[in-house]
Amino acid sequence: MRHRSSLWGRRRPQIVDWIRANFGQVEIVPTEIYAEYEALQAINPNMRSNGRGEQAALEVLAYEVASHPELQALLLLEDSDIRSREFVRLLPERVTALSTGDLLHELESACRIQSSDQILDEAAARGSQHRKAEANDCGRACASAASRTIVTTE
Amino acid sequence: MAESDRERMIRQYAAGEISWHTMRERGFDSFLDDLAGLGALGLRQPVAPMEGPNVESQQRASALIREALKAQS
Repeated sequence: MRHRSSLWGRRRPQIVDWIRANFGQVEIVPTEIYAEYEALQAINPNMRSNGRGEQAALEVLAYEVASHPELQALLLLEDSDIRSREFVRLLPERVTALSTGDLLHELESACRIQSSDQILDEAAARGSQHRKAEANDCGRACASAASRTIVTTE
Repeated sequence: MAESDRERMIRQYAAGEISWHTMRERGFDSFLDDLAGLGALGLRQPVAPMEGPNVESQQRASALIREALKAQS
């Protein structure tokens, strides 16, 4: 099984690229919840996040809402989770949660996108392509390492 | 996790029978794995109906988005 820390390590260049590409549009903020998680993971690399993402979202939202009295915040959640997650009912008063499907539906109704289904199909197709590309890269790297080993051995 | 178990879970997820939270608890590390699995099976992410205990928040959020989009046009 892969560790979350190894996942972070493997994807770090992609994450850094993404942050650079979206600089000014997306803000990444530190949280006490994540700092605690990182400290605990240094002790036990197998430790999973166990809902800390939601706790971190609550921490950020509570701070932002308290700092900006006029702020109305939206929290975008994955569709299958929004129906059941209790933490949605713990959100500060001026924070409302919506799902990816809700957002796409509103964008489609306002003629900002052609079709919600098309976007979701494309997301799934891109996920699949990305994984295939990763597998091919890994295969090439393994083949290259194997050939180097053969050359060295011979 | 066996490939057949992964495929079964992805199919259940696409059908709205289990949530992403449940999939994480059962060993899916990344949402990209989930999307990749859906794409490989020709499925798409499920869209939740407007119902359940959090529906009030969903409705308020949708209304806010609608107003913002109107204000932009």
